[in-house]
Amino acid sequence: MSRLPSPSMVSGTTKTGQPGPRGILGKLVCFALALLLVGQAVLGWLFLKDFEEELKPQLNQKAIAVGQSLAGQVGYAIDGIGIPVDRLVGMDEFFDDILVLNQDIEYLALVRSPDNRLLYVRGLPDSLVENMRSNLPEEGAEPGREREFEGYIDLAFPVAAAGEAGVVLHVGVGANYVHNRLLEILFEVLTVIVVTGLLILEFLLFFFAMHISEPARHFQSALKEGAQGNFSNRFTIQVMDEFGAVFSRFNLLMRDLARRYEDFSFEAQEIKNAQIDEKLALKVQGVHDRMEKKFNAGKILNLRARTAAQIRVPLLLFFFAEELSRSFLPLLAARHAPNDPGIPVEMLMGLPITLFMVAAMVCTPFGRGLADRIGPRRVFLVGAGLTVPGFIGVFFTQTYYDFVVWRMLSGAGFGLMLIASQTWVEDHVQERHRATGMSTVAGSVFAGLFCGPPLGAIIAGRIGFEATFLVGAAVAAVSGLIVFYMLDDHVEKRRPTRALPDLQGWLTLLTDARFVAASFLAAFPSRLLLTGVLFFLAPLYLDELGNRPSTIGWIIMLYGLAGLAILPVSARIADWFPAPGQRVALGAAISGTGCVLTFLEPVFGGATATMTLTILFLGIGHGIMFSPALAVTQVIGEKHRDTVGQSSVITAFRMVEQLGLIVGPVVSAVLVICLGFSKTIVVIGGIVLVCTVLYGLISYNARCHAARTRQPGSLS
Amino acid sequence: MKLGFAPRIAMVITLILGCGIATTAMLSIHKYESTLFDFLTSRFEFVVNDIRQEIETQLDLGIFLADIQDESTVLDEIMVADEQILSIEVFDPDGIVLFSTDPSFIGDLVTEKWLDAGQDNQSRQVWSMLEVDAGVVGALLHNNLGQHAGSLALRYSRAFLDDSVADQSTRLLAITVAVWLGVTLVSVVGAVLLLRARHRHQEGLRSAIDEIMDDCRDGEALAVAKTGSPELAAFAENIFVSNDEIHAAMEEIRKLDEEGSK
Repeated sequence: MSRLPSPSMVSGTTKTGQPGPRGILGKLVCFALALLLVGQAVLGWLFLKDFEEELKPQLNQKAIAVGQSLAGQVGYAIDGIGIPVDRLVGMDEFFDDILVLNQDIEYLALVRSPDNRLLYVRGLPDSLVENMRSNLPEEGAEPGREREFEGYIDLAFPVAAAGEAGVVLHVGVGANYVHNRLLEILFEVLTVIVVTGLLILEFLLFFFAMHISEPARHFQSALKEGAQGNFSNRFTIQVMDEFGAVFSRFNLLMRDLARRYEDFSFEAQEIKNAQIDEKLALKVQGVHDRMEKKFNAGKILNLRARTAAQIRVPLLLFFFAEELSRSFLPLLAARHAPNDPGIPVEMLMGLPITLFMVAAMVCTPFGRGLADRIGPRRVFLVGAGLTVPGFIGVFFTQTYYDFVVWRMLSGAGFGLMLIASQTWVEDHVQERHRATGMSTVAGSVFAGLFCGPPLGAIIAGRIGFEATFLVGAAVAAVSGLIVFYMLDDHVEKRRPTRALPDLQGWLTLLTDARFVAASFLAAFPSRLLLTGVLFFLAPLYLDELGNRPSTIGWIIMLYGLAGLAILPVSARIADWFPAPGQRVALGAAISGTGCVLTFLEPVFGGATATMTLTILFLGIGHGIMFSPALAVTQVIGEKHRDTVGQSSVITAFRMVEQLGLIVGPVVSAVLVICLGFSKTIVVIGGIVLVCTVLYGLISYNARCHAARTRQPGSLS
Repeated sequence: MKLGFAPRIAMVITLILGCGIATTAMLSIHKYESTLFDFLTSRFEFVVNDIRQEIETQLDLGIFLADIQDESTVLDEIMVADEQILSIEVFDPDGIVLFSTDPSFIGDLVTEKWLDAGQDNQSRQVWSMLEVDAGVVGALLHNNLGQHAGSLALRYSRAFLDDSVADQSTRLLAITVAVWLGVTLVSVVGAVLLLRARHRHQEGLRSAIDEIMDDCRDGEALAVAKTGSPELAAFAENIFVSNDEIHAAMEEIRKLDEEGSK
């Protein structure tokens, strides 16, 4: 007998203790991650084994070249110049020079066979010298004869000298040298594993929301309504999986019931019309009316699964595509920068980031209006339609100006896509849960920043900076395809809102201390920090410090990692700092402190280590302040709901925030020209800390004032 | 197309793992190529250094580069000893070839790239680059006053590198496909096993709705549903009641119709 689940089974376990979707999800995630690790380990092991077999003979070839050459030179010294082999001068220095120039050669030894006397040995640990003497091969070995010796591969080369018989040169290479060289790839494979693991997690969450949790919730509510006599629900069948089959049966059942009622209604109408006796006709009508009240409740409702989480994967992929170039974008700009003495190259390196943000900012209010009219799905697709050619264009770019134009096109698409995602989230979460819903957007931003930079750096190392944008285009296109197939053109009916406040509205906002503090002293500096330090200075500074692109990618990735890690614990932070304004100040203070730490580079073990710490602090700070910043804006918006309009307040706040994104690279470039990298980071961190202190004071003052206004006389 | 949870989940997992595996394969073959290139370059760097030292010894004795005796013979011997070497050229600071394993090159100008590579790598003793058909390792020659007296360049066959990388790529592709197929198989089996209970539950739910539709009030699946899910039990009860009501109403109006006919 099969067991039937409770349709309400959406949590970790059911009433009967059976694993619910979350339980299954947990197991599936563990299973997929285990499969990922095992698959990659098997693949790595097979590659390593195969490559080692192929490469070892090449290393031996090198040792043979060294051995033959040295044996020839020693032979010349003995025969050509006439120096006895045990009186050769400067052999140790000679061998040392060879070992320094050829790191793959581990040791060199010259041995005289009759008494197995080690004449000259360099590079071999003292503990193995005696061992070598007792393990020497018999006299007369052919040149390049190979044998294993204490973790080395020893190659013997008899010295052809008529004056000295039995002199043999031994060249040793590490038996694990090839293995160790190939293991250098481990760091990069780890990056792939981490990124793939995160993508699996996100896709499985997305799958479960779309195919199990949401359908289960819808089905449960349809059953409840059906139990109360509402038979107007029908399911839109998106996919023919197990829930699709159940929904299809449910729809049939509802249609069957409706058909029965329609048959009755038709017959009742016929009978009523056929009656001559009016009393009987009225009785028939009475029965019909009674039934109509129950069965003809009104319009048929089509149920379709829509959740805020649906946008998470496309948004993540979009950010992932954009962030692929994060670790080298200023370097690529520098490569295309014209040699114009009028404009400093630092400015030219920052300009593409600034103009990208300008394009995004210009498109945001436009995109908002468009999303209200045609729905967020179409706006997202328009955004993807601009971004993908933008990425492809960078690949074909010839001049700096082409590069900037293509980046601006991508920026416009980015702005549209971001506002479409925000609109989708707003449409599918209740207003009181909006800040939580927006953490979906934050999660995708941080996940994108986590996955993109390290993988982008590795890919760029293989196929070049420009070609990496083609990979970005492919990922962005996949993101658009997911939106195309998984989202619908639903347009939420909402009160028409102004995108931006009018002049009066701006005046009202600019005289509100809390708005000025939240936008100009908290949001603006934090965004300035993001583009100025993380996007612009970090890649350039880390490059100047001599870090490889993949290392730069890893360090920048820590921003996303810190942000992702801090999001789940934001509830606990809220217990310690209940007011959202306090959390905004805390986040800003942490990010500012991270920058100021650059001042203490020697204390933290050098510039690269300090920069790593700075980026970690930035990620933590921004992760803490992301959701509370929105909550603060909502409170301010609530205050000005009747005068400026809540959505206009949020749009104005966003605009100030975006100004910070625009100004960041410009300010950083100017400061770098005057102060250099580390001092610039310290100065920007200092500015953020000063702004944070002012923000804290103003917010505290405003809160006290608000409390006094609410409870007059209570403070007296 | 009807596809259950398990194949869909398996498809998602397989696709993402496939991307990860493909990326690892790409990185690996690149690592193989760069390691092999390093090994080849390192070997020929040693040979080039050997020749450089030999020439510089003569320069130190005050002999001009162009006047060195039997250099072409020395170069020929080195080339014969290693079949991968295509040619060795010694040229003056202007790039005019003075000695070569291929006598037809003598007097020719070497490519600008070799001269630039020498200039760009003055701090290092040797330089290397990959050309379309060959790998090149070179070194600057200095006399005992530290003056730039010329350069030498050794060209080796790229075919070996390219063939080896192509061979490995083919093998790698086979390994990658095999691992991916293995992962696909395991992910399908795993997804089916993990989602088996959920699948059975959904099937039971579907059967219960079928029984409601067939007015099978004592159906097996429906009985289970009523114990497991109060919402479904209430829903089924209301459907049966509604059907009964429609049936009763139909009877009622038919009776009224009969009354009217009488």
